[in-house]
Amino acid sequence: MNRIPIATKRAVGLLTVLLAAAAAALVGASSPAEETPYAPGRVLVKLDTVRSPSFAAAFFKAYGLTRLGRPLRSGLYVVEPPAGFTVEQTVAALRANPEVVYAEPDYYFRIHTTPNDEFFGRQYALSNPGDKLALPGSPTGTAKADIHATAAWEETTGASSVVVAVLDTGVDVAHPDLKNKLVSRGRDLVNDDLDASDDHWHGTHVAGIIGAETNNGFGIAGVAWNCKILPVKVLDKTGVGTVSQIVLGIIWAADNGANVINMSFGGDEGAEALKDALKYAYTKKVVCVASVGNDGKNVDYPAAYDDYVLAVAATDYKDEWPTYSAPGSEVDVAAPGESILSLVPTWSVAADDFPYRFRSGTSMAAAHASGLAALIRSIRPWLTAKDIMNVIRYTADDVNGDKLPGIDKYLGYGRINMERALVPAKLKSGPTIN
Amino acid sequence: MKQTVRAVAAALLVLTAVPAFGQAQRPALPGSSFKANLTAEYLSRRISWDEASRDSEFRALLAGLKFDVEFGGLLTLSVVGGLSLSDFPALTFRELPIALDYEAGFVQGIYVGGEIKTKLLASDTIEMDIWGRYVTSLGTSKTWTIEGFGAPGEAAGKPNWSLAEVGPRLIYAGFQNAAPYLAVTANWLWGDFKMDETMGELVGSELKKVKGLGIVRAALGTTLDLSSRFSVWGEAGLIPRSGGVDWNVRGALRFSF
Repeated sequence: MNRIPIATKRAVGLLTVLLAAAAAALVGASSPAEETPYAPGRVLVKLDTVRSPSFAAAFFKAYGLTRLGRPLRSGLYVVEPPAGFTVEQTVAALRANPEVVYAEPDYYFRIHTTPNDEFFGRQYALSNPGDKLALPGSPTGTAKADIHATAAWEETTGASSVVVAVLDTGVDVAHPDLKNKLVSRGRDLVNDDLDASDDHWHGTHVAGIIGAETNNGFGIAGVAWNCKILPVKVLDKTGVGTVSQIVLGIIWAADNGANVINMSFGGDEGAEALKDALKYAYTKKVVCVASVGNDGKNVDYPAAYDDYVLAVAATDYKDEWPTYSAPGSEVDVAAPGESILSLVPTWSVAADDFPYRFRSGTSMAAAHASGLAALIRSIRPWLTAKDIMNVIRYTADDVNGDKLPGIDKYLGYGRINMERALVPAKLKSGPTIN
Repeated sequence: MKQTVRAVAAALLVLTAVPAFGQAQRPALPGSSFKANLTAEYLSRRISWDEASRDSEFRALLAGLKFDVEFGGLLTLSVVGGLSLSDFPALTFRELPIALDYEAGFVQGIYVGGEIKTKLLASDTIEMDIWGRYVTSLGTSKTWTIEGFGAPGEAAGKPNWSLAEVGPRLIYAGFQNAAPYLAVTANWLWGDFKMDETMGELVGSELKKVKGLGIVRAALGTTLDLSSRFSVWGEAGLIPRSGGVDWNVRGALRFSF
């Protein structure tokens, strides 16, 4: 107990300094409107646990602190700063006392933005809880083997002015999770009209991953909540299209407001006309994203056009490489492609069935990357297509780095990470940030 | 901001020209005197940025030398300079390709400035003067290595800021060795923080302009004579603003020639 007078003396000294420094009698506590990252009027303080409760009471009295509630655990208290003192001042004063093991503000923690869509819990690609997943076969996933969407949505859910062109089999323009997200009914280069309705299922599925209407209480969540979809039908009802149709589709999309072009298709042969069209879009700051292919052998075109296209491989619910995902030096990044839940055309299911299905492939992986490109474009519209592709590359998680550190032919830079691409990194003192 | 600086400069010039109407009560001393000061100051301010849509903390520590030249007891001109440490916690650079939240602490720099003080009134116990100052801190460029991404990166930051204030001081001159005073000043703080980023093929630069919240500062201070040549001076000020109060403390050890 003979320590209390020492503590008291120290406290009085410290408080005197603070008084002189801030004339604190006139200072009000920070307003909640200031949006401090911690609760106003609350400080966590841990005292040496060998001290008795009576010591704590005397200690707090000496500092003019008010204890709030019971100790959280032995020696750990929540206290209210003296009148006129801010949380920071109180923490600083307490930290100067050797009796205090630690003192810190009572920081806020918040849930990451989680949409209320009915099937969001089945979208491991966006938020993977690990354990048994609600996917076909009930596989066991790895927690956080996802694109870190919820944390990224705290930063942005996209701008409605940003448009993702889906060059594919068209989309179901009547789908309840898509109809409000379309710029228009698009362009059909197979039937040469202005109605890019889907007569397959592929384009609708891809479009849903990118931008299904989100937080609407049903269906699934899209990666880019607020961005718009521009359907461009370049593949017929069997899922096949020609270079000429694709070239026209790329140019039409670039000329009609697309900021991102998703191409979840590929072919074995390149074509100069295709390369020229991609270059045209690239010079107009349009980010072109393509899937690498599902034959497990070689990266298809257009993904293989390294200079103009972001080539996307697939990962699964454990952040592992599925063997169908084509390897190659052209692979830039990877994204979840295995058992992805998204939309299918309403006409393809019974009237009482949900128009949603699980599908697998690098097509689904590319769609996730296109959604991310749209979000980056939303908050940094001044970046070039090359810049956005590099942001996606450099912020990817090297998830197979333990075996293949750095860039490799299976996952490229790694699985995309929306949080790292969108949320500001902490620039800390010392030599590094991460 | 240029208009503000011009206004402050103009005010100082006008005030310099105002004759002290209290001369009759307290004759001015002829000639000039000199003082050298070891000074230190700590600022804790709230700053706004991104066109006042966001705000964060600003902290600075100044330590240096100040030389005062007093002309006939009516006018004092001072030059000040030294080392500065400036911190902008939670300042966010969102225009960089990889956005950065600044949490890297103090950046070194130098500061220079000047002060002017002219006496308006003097009696046996009460004096009043007008006082103003301008200080500018020029930060040195500090570089941080950015690791943990798919390409090596680097960020280089350089903060600059300025402070100007002017206002009256009411001094109690009835003590033998001490002269406590109350000052109320108009106070302006502004600056910028340039951050350059390179990472692989990505290159970006952002100049973040900042502005201090709160424009009126109220301060209590005193000088205390230790001997015929040495004295100490201290001052604590409050700057009320929307949502709280900012503060600064200043002090000096003074030697009179």
